Amino acid sequence: MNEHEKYTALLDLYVDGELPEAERAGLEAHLTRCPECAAYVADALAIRAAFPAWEDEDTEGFSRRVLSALPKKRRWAGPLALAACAAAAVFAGGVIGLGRGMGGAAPQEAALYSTGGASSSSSAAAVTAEEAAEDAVTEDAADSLPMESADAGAPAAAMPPVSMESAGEETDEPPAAPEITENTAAAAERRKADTAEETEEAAEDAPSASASAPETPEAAGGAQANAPADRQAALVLTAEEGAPLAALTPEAETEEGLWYRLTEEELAALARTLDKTPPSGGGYVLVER
Amino acid sequence: MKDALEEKWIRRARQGDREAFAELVRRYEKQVLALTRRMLSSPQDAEEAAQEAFLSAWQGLSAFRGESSFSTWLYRLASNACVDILRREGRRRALSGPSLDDEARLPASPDPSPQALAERAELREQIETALSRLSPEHRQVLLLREMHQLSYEEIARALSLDVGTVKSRISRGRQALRRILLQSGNFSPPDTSKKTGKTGKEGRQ
Repeated sequence: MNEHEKYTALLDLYVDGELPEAERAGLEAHLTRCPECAAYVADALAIRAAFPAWEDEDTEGFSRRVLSALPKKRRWAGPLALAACAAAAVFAGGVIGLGRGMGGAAPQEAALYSTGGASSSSSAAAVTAEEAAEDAVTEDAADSLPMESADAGAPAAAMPPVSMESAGEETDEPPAAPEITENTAAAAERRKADTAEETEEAAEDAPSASASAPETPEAAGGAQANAPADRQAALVLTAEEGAPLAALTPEAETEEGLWYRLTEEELAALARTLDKTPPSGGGYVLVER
Repeated sequence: MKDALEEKWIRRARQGDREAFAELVRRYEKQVLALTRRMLSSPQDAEEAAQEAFLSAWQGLSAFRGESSFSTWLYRLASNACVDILRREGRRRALSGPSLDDEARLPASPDPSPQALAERAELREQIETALSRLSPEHRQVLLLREMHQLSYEEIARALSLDVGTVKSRISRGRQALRRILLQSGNFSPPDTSKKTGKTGKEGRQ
């Protein structure tokens, strides 16, 4: 192996800072004598200097989408999720979606529980309200499984996928609350943040239940907060047609209805199940009120 | 890479704290999306792979013992998700351009200062295009090396490869990338000695 071959094999290590120190001086001396190797190193460094940077990446809405997918983990598998949700909707009585935004038993009960919780400390009250809302929803969901849900329990009927989710989440994981190793103030702060976050999610998942909980005004407005005015619907569905989407988290809620953002495959799968022409590309589905 | 705040988030997320996990997602979403968007040509697939990486992280946090850094582990999950999708979709691209598994030879380039360097944004575009023409294996290691600044050792850990394989893939991948850039004429002056008919005239591409 001549000198050039020897150093050619080391150029990438040199560029990548992986070259043993002992070789360094020899290689740098070679670079002064060898235009070919010098050009390679210069080009490699130029590539590095101009290389796409992750810092430039657009991540609009990504963390929110990840978080809303978390509890749905086991059923969230792209298009398959829609089939699973559709099955859940049928199971729940087929009237999902009709109850959105209407007053009903579930929100009142949630409010009742919330009021009870408010008598303790404020942070604990929020937790209680949140848990109570989930409990109420869970109970209502169980109650609403029989067919009478079609009238009396319509709002609650929108909940089953969510509440099943919540129940699974609770049992799968140890509660975060009992941790006492943190200093108390920080822990309380964290807990508050968690509660706000989870309550907000609950609001998105189950707008009719949380919207009437007095302790969480920010949660009630949460779904509306980020609704861009120029949203275009790739598919517009009636509340009934949109039933399979009830288990997903809408991106926004407007006067027109609930907006869900779907991928191309999901849109296509949804369109197929509804006998509609699949739109090209991903986009929004508007489920009308 | 040790970071007390991050370790706290990891510990809390492991216990089921969603907000702590959200902090981790927000800290690393750019890195992960930058990777998946370049590994997969479809934006939907890239989003799916990135989500899958974080969901796997959420589920696998209890198994994460901090032997490698959290970011390296995340890149591993993201890389796996990308490979899964590539496999599923059967989208492994046929290699275009030079055969990457050929014995790589460095093209002779008499001018060490790439003129295109002045137009960094343009070169960046060229690199994006060139990257998409590499094999997934080469693209993967180059992204982790150049964009995420992982060491060979870290890349080896992230991709379950031995360091020697990482080294040779980076070398070949980089040579392939450079060759594509040279051929496109937007990088160093055209290599006149081997690829363009040995005219020796710089102006002729």
